Amino acid sequence: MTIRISRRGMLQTFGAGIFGLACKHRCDALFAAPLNKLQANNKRCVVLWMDGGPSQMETFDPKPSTSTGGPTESISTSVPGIAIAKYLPKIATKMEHFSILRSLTSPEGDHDRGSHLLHTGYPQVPAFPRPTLGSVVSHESPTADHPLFVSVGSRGFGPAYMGPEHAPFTIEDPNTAVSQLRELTTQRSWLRKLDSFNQVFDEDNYDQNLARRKSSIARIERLLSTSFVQALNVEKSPTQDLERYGDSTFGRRCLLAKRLLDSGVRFVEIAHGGWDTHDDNFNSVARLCTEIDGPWNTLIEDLQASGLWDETVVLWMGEFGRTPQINANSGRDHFPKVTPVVVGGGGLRGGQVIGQTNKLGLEIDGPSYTVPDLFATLLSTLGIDPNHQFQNEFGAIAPASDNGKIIASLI
Amino acid sequence: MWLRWITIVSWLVVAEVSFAQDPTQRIDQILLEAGKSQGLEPAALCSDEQFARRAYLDLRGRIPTAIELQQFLANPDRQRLIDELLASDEFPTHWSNLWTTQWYGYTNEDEVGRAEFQQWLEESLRQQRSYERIVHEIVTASGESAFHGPVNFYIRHNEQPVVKVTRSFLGIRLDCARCHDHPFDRWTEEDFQKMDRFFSGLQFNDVSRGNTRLTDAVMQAEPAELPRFLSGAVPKTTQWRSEFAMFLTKSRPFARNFANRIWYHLMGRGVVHPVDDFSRDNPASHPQLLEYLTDESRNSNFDIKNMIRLICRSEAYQRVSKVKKDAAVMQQLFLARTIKPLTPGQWYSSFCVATQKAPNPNEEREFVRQYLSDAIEGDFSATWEYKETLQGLMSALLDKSSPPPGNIEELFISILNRRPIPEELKFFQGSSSREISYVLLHSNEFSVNH
Repeated sequence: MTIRISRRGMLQTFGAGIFGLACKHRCDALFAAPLNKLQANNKRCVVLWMDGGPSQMETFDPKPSTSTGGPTESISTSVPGIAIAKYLPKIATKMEHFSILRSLTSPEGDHDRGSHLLHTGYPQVPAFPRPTLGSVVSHESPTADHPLFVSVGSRGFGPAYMGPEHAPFTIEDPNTAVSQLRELTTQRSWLRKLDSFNQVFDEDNYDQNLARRKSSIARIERLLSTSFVQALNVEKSPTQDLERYGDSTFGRRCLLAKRLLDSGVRFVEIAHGGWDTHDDNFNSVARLCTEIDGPWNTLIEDLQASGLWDETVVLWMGEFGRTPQINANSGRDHFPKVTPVVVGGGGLRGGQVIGQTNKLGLEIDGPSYTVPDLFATLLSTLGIDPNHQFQNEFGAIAPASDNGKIIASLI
Repeated sequence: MWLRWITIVSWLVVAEVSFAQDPTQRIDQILLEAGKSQGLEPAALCSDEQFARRAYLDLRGRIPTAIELQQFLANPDRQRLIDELLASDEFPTHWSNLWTTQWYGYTNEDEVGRAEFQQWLEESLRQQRSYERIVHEIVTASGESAFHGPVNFYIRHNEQPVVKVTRSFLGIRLDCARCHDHPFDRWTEEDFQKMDRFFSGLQFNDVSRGNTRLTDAVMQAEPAELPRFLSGAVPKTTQWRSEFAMFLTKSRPFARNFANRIWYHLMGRGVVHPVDDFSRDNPASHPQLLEYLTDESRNSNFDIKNMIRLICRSEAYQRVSKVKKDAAVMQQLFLARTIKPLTPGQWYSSFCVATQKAPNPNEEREFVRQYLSDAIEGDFSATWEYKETLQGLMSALLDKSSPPPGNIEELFISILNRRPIPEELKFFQGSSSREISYVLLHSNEFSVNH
């Protein structure tokens, strides 16, 4: 990776050497980026984030005809011996391509803390922010004129010591993003004018934020001429694509993810909300599953058709699982002890169930895996050494994974 | 003969009084001496236009209107302007904004709790309550969150509130001692555990939707199990949290943190920087200055406006940010002005002033929400980022409003609070007023407090 360092940036870097102590807190962004670059690779990742915490009992670990199973029935899948909940009939036909992790456990039963752990692989400690996985992947990919990490429908977590360039490009609504970018395209000459106008002020005034802002404006200027902008314009997709993914929020997001991956984005997170089913769990999850089943299935088919499947990890998860016990409102509450994850693509092994829960789903039978184990596996699959030592802006060692051990049966 | 004596004596008295009573001078004296020892001369004082913009942004949270600027320039008495701005209606609004962001932060949900907290804080500032009293009320807050603003502090930080309390009000990071002894510092895991115990009686009960009652259990324990303040003090009654508040607000580190934070808000960096990292590893740039400001805080009974006035009157506050040589060191030594990015609130309000548009609270909330990332924990210095969407956000805002009226001179004055130089007039020759205002509103000069 080549790092563009402006003249001003150079001055700051050297300044920090001489006046290190006083300067160290201000130059974090400059130091964060060039550290310990690893070997570039082509791996990509899509996270389907089930916001609120998806019920394993109504998706990938049903317990029909038990006291905890509720009315949920199971169906067989394309792999003999593996059954999942009946609400995901299309995904059931793709079972040979992915693995179900039934023995992943997490200690975090709070939405914020659980989301943090499942996004970064580290527990939340305010004094030591950790980068979200997408930022790590962005940091480890060859530089490009467009964002490498895009988060759709969720505000995402921060890049921490990966540096601000690797923050997620967040999109609430693709149409708005497209019209903003189109607007910017018409203002291109104004952007150039802005850049020259700023020069006088920047020459006279010293501040790293100015340099950062300059690079941000330059980045947007470059972005405008990339295929990323066309990819964002999801409504301009061929009619048959629009139909195959379906006219729903999640369908559009899956289609957008596919288009972004095609245009060179390395990490896409798309969110699907509503999984916090404390009330009316069974009807809600049935509906939620119907919303994701088709688009997810189409995404797998398209990735396989375009040859990206073996390079793209597709991950389905949320912040935690839900209690086997059914509460008084026909709901299920937070249950991090069993956190369901489904993963395929990227060269990972498919067609298997890893681990099991007991008859009522209350405990994991046999060995269990931790969230750091999952992250070590993902990092390694994405071509990043889990033991690689990054450094935060204060020079503290920050390994890529929190002592996770690779889940061998997935590789 | 008598007359001569009287003159000399009265001169001496006046001199003595002015030496003793102008604390601002002491600030500059310390800074100039520190600069001299490094062989550095301070930067020049800023122009009246620049001073007005700076003071308006810092004290009212927005740039001056063209008329306000004109009025000040007609009679540029800086001390009077400081007093006027401190007395303005927007002062409590802006500072409650700043401190709510530091103490409460932003979350995805619960804008109600945040609003309750801020309204209470704004009212406290309007009533000229001292900082000591404000913090005391936060730390000892109890009752129903919908009716008593400061309770929301604990609802927001209900998990180990001691972490946020010590960060905000002492400027120290106990977090790291949560799981292990801090490698660089003197706080141990035991210190953390014992500080944490002060809050072990907190009880949260949902009264109704969106309303939580905070109460304290009556706490008793064996001597070995009692909480312990970092100073070593232990509670003598069963009201642990009340005693904590007293230990806290009477401690010197509390006053130091107050002085350092006010300095930080106005000067762009703390004497200890980052402001929430008082530690052995991170000494004050000017220990003498810090102790002096700390004494002033205590002597004035934590009068917030007094402290702000003191700093704004100093030459240090009024220096230019422009320096050709050794800029970084000059800024660290407060011999030149540090540039501060506008907070989203300042940006929005200034945008409205510059484009002569009425502020819209919903639009402002949405702008601030999009601007700040989740990661922000309330300390601007730590995670401030220009998001990539910023440009889009701005042009979306600009798009909705017509460009401000006026010729190029007027646009410069209403947006940048200064006249254009001849080169700039030439640069914009033939540009539409829409284009000029686009460039000026997006310029670095507009987006920072310099």
